[in-house]
Amino acid sequence: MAPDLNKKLEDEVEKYRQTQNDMKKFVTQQQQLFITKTENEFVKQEFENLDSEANIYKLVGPVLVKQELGEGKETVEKRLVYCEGELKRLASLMKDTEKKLEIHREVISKIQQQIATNK
Amino acid sequence: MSAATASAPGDQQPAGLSMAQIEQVRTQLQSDIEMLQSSIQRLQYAQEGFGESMLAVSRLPTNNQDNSLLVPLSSSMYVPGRLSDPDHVLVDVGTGFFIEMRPKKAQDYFKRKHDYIQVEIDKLQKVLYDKLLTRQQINGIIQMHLQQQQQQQQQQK
Repeated sequence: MAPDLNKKLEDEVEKYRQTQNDMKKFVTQQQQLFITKTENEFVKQEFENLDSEANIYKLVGPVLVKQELGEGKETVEKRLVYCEGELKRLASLMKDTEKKLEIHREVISKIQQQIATNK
Repeated sequence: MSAATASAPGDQQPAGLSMAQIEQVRTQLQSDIEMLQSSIQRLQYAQEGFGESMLAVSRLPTNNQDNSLLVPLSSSMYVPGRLSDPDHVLVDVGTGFFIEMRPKKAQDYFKRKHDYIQVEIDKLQKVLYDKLLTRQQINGIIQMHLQQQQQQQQQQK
């Protein structure tokens, strides 16, 4: 019985580690999205302070392309909407992953107790 | 042995935590402090960038002045040139967008960014200060506990 339990424990701990790694990746993604979102919000603010005559340019590769203020505002708005959507998706993913981690923790602790009582 | 010294190591501290827990808190605090310090440094670095941009724009010649300059073609070769339009500058506002502005507006922009970063730095400094204080307190508690332990060992001899 004991070797089986130990194997079970190992498997469960491995699963827990993998889930933790997933969680870390999500946190990094979330941070990245946050940065992008904040940057775009800054640009949005600056655009709002401009009058329609102002010239804006977009960097496309090595080229600076002149753009309409309206177009620029739209682009920034679209990016913001995308960021917010992604952040929401990540938030719910992270909640689920947290629950998974909790379940793993419980299973691990049960197996450990079993091993302890079997000795 | 008096009742006060007949206690095992790792017992309840005045703060209500065991020694091991206090150590954990201290480690967490230490890493928080380091993270805050590095964040503040990065913010200051970014702020410097805006300060330099402000300075650079203020040094631009106006239309009435001589606006000849040297343009770098490579790291060791320059070509003489003239600033064709000293009345407008292109400011990088982030995410690949540039806005054409008058030098005065550009300076305002840089000052705004510079001041905004200062506000954020101040917020972080406050949090950092509180954490430093807490760390000091915790170190004090750990010291006290160590001294208590030493006294106990002395008395047991």
